[in-house]
Amino acid sequence: MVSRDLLDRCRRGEQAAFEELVELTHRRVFTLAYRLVGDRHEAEDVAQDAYLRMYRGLAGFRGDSSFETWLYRITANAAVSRLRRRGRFGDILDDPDDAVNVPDEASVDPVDRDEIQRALFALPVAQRTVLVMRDAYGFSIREIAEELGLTEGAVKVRIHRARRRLKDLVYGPAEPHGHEAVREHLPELAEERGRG
Amino acid sequence: MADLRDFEVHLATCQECAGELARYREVVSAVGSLRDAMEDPVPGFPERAVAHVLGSERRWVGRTRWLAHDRRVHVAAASVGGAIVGAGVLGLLWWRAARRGLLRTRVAV
Repeated sequence: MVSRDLLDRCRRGEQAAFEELVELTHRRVFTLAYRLVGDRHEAEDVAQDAYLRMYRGLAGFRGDSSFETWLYRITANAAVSRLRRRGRFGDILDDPDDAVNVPDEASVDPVDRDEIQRALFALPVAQRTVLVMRDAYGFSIREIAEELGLTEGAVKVRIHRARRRLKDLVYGPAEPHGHEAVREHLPELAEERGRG
Repeated sequence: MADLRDFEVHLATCQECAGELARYREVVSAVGSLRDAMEDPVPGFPERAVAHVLGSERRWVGRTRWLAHDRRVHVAAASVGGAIVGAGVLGLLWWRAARRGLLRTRVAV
């Protein structure tokens, strides 16, 4: 947790305070960057870029959201810019419907972190980006839409597709048994059960 | 909502669909748990990040100062500014002269 006092000291240009801030937050920033760009070296560049943007924007940070949320948004923005620069712009916007390699053998419940991370990296960039932002970091649909330049409807559809593809990657594809309509309503049903 | 209720009833009797929903929820929950699982960058990353930020800032401040203090930049800015103002004044004079000419022509008519 980053204190208000530390942020004030950073705003005043205290180098020691900025070093402390980076020390406190760098693992979280690096982790988000890594999960979005999928490469450790690039993730480091993205994280450095995020810190530069944060440093320059700190004077204008009013605290409407928590500092961590703000920093995550900056990091995601730096990662998306990076993906676009390196020619993956199309990948971010396109949601390919072509089949990915799905393991033949279904795994057993529950899914461990290594397994889910491997499956996440097997997703197309377009789907991984929305899923990491939404399900791992709690970005709102609107925030993701703004970040990627998509409509909110398109983001919702992409999240649903990404979750289903991830499920197929982890457990193997579902056998068709004539109740495909239910699959289309999995997000709402999952939400209902979550509330109940 | 009625549709959803129908699906709920269906889920109570269909093992395949119930399993599908359970797996879907498990995957969503597993992705959510990643937030707490940290990745470690290469050692020395925080120091490199600080150096990158402060280095970029110094270069930026240096460039700004150079722009603010270099006499050649002042002369260039003054020349460009003077040219713009001069062109504006000439344009205004030409426009006024053209209007007067037009008025005279009308009076004569």
